[in-house]
Amino acid sequence: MGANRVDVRGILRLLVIFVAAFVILVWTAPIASYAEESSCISCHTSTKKLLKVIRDIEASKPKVEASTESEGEG
Amino acid sequence: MAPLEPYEKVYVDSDFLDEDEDVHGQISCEACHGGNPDAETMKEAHEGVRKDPTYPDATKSCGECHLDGGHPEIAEKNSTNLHISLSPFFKKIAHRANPDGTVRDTIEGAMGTHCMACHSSCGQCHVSRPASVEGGLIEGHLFQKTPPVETNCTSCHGSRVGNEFHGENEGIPADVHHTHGMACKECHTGDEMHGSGHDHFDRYEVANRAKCEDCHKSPDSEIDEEAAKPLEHPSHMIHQDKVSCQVCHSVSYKNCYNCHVGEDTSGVPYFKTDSSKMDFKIGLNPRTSEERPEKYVIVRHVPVSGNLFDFYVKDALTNVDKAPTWKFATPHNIQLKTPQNETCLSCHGNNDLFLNEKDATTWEIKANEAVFVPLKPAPHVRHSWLEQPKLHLAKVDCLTCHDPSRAAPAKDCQECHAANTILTTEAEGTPEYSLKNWRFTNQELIDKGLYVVGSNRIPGLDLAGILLILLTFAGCAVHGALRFLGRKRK
Repeated sequence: MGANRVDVRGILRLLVIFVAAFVILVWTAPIASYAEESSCISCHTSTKKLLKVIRDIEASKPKVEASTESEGEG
Repeated sequence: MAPLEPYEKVYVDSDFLDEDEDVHGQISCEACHGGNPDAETMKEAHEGVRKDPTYPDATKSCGECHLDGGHPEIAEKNSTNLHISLSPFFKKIAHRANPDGTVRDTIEGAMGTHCMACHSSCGQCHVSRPASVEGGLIEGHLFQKTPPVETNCTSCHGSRVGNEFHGENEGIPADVHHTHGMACKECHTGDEMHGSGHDHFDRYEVANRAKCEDCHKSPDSEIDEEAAKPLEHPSHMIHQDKVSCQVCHSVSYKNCYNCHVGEDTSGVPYFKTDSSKMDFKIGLNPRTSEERPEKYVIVRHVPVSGNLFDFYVKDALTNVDKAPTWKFATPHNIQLKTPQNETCLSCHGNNDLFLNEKDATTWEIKANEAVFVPLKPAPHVRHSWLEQPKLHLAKVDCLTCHDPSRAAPAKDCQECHAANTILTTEAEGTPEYSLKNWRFTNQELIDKGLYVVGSNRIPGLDLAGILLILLTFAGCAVHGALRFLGRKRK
């Protein structure tokens, strides 16, 4: 009887550890991998990359400014 | 406010990815903004990207989380939030518009181009600058629970409210709340900014808007003195529910005139307004209500004109005079002491402060009939029932007769010209006629520079006079008695 009780506890403990590990992995894995792998993040958090890319974009797109005909206070 | 450099507008601070700094950084970029993070090129990656995923509909971005839990009401209010819908603009222009359906459609299109450029959104308050001031992330995409004043409040509400509040109009001091270190949020809470959950014709109808009474309690209200200081000055009792707070406590503010909108040869929208003017006008409240019972309010000129949309369609605002061009206003330049509250007569009888026909152009006269204040005779004319009205007005404090605790002003001469004159206050005590008082009978009146018949009596002189008469009688009696006795002896 005593040996059987110890086995059940061991199995339960393993089960809890497995479930906890699974939940933690599922919870954090996409975020961690996202933060590490996302091309959005790698570019938008780098001033250097942004400066280069945006300089090219700004140079290629037509300059749209507020109309010079505007007068007075908005 | 200078616009951000292009790269600054899209720069994301790496702190944004730290869960402890901002939980929103744990959501993938494409979940809110769309686009394709797996694309090979930048152009492909940005296809379908939504710069502001919260506009016009925030229910699929903010709403998915904020519908449940901490702020269930916020996303629900999005569609009726006036910062987002600008609904009163459309309703008020519709009120003045030509009833023709085609014309109205054209006006609505023009308003979409011009007026709607100034809307806000969840994102344009909490994450980026508003698009109307060229946008750009604030604090590297870190969500701001309270939007910063300069980038997100006065960037839109700048030329009137911002300049007034910060004292940036030449010669006009900053609002006393600003000089005491208060920012917009101290009065305009998040709850107000997110709206009441109802659509409105006028922004002043929003029930949970900021009110002076939230902090400053009127004399007859129940007061939690720890939360609010009661307004003890008697003027509050006199003017309560008759005059809005700003009538006494605001100073000159900006008024705008005429506005024309159109598109230049490149198709870029433009607007033209006449020069603004600093002015201060008290008008009649055109729509008194239980909540806003005041008869007199501050009015500000709005830049509407009949040919506002002429570029797009002629005769767009055929009913432009159906609503006043001087509108109820709450200038943000509150002062404790102002030129008009210096004395009663600074305002009463000062017709220059009150809006009337001379403040309107020809077509505006009909529009503003409901807000013009009928000119009143000068105070000395209104007090002509008094003897020497000008002298009375110069010498007697108005509150002596117009005592707020009285049912009606004092009009009986004998209330002043009597031994127990009302000219002395309870604190000063009633006049003393004791013979021990050797000063003038109403010394306090003389100290105030006032003169009331009889107030310059000196009890000591009264006594001396009486003694002189008694002594004269006594002298006569003694003289008579001595002569009588002298004759008897002879």
